[in-house]
Amino acid sequence: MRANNFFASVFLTLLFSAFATEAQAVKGDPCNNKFMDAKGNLRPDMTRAYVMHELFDIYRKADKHCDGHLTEAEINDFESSIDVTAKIALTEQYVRSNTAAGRPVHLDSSGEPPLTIVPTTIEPTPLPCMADSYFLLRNAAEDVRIFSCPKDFKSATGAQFGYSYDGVAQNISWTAKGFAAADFVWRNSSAPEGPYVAGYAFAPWVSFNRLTNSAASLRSKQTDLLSYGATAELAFGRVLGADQYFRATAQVNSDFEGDAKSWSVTAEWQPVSNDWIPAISAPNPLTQYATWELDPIARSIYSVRLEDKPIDPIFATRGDTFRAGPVLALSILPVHNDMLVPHWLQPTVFTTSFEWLEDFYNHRTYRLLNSTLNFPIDPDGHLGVQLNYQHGQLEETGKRVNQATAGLAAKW
Amino acid sequence: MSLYSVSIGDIEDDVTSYFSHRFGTDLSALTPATDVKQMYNFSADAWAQLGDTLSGLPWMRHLGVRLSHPDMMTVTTVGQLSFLIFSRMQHVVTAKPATPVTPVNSLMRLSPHALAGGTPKGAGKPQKAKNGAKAKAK
Repeated sequence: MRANNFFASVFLTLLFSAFATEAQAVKGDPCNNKFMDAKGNLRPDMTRAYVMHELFDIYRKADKHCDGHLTEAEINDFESSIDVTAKIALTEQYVRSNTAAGRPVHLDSSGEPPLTIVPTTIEPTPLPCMADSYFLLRNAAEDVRIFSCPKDFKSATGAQFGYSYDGVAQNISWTAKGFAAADFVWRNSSAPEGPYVAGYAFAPWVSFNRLTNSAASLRSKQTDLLSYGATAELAFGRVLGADQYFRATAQVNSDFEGDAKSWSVTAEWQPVSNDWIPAISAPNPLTQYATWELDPIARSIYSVRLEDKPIDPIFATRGDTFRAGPVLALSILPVHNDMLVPHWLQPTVFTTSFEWLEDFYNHRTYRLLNSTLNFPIDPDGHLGVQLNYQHGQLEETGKRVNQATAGLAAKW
Repeated sequence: MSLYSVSIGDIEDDVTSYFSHRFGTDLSALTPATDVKQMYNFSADAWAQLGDTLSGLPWMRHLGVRLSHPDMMTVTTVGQLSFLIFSRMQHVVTAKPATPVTPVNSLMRLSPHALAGGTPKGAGKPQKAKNGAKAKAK
C-alpha cells in the first residue's frame, strides 16, 4: 500500500444484535429508596447504613430497618429464613449421610471440601426465555426448540452488515449475513398422568448471505443467497413412556432477485425417554465415569430443484427427490464431576452418527457416517485434538465424501 | 388421619439415590450443589422429560408432587430439585401434634433402590425425621 496514492479502505460495519424480550432481573437492595432523598441524592445521615449495605451482603439481606445495624431480631429472622434453613438442612443431610457411611467430608487446609457441598442457590432459576414469542437476529441459524432457550444475545454472534471501499481496486463492496426468526413457543405447565401435549414451537425465518462488488473484475466473487422458511416442533408427553417429538422444516432457497433455486420439506420423529431401558435420547451410564446416549431419528426429506444448473447428485435423474430413513447418533462423554473425572478431561466428546436414506423416486440409497472426537491433551487447557471422519454421501447434495481430518487447537 | 413427616433432607436422599442408582455414582459425589443435569450430560429435551419420570417414582407419588417440563427447565442441581419438590408438597400445620406423626422413613422405603432389594454402594442409613420437618396429611 502506498500512503500517497492509496486511500485507505474505509470500513464501516454496523453490528446488530438481537434484543432480549425479557427485562433482566436487577439485583437491588430493598433499602435503596431509604438511602436517597426526594431528588435521588444520598442522604448524609444514611451514609453509614449505605456503606454497610455496599460492603456486606448480609446487611442487604438482613437489615430490615435499613439503619446499618443488625439487631438480634434481624439476625434471628435471617437465620430462620426458608432460604438459609433449607441450605443448612440439605448440607447437614449430605454430611450426616456420608459420615455415617464411613465417608467423612474432609476439608483441606483452606477449609475447602473435595466438592462444593453448600448450594449457593436453591430457588428455581428464572428462564431467560419466558416470553411466548421472541425475535432473533443472529449470524447463523439457531434451531427453535420447545424446552431450551436460544443462546443469550450477549454471547451470541450477531448478524453482520458491512461496507468497504478499496481505492486501489476501485471497488465498493456491501455485505450482509445473518439469520432472522420470530419464535413462538408454548409449554404445558401441567404434568398430567396420561398422554398430553407437552409443548410446541413455531418459527418463520429468513437467512441471508449477500456480497456485492462494484468492480467488474470482482463480480465473480459475489455471493447471493436468500433462504426463507419455517420450522415447527411439537412434543407429546407420556406416549409409550416417552416424549414424542415431531419436527418439520420447509424452506425455499433463492437469491435476492427472487429467483427460486430449490425448495424442500423435512419431517422428523424422535422419541425421548428416561424410562426405557436403555434410555433413548437420554444419558445411560458407561461405568460411573462416563455416559452414553443413543438418539434415534426417523427423517424424511422432499426436495425440488427449480434451476437447471448446477445439478447436485440427488437431482441427477429427475428434478425432485423423496428420501426417508433412520438416523442413529451415539455420543459418549465423561461425567462432569471433579471427584470422578479430572476437570481438564471433562470437555472430551465422542460422537458418531449414521444416516441411511432411501430415495423412493430415484431408487438410490444415501448413507453417511460422521464421527468426531474432541480430546484435550493438556491439563492446563492449552492444547486439544479434534479428529473427524466422514464417509458416504452428504445429505444436502448427495455428493460423495470420504474425508478424515485431524486438527490441533492451541491457545495461550 | 395419619400424618407423615418429610424433611427436605429426606427428599434430598431420594433424589441422590435415584441418580446414584441409575448411573452407579457413589453418593459422596452427589452434593446439594451438584449440577446433575450437567454432570450426566442431559440434553434440554431429556432433562425436561425427566420430570415425568421422577413424577412416576413411588416416593414422588407418595408425596403427591408432579413436576412439569417447564419446572425442570428451572432446576439443575440436587438442592434446587429437592427444594422444588419440597415446596410443592401440600403441608399441614397443626398447633399441637395431637396425632402421632409417623416418619416416612420408618415405613416401607419407596425409593427405587429399596424396591430393587438393595442399596447403592456406600448408601447411608435411613435418616429419622428431623425437628421441624413438615407433616404431610394423608
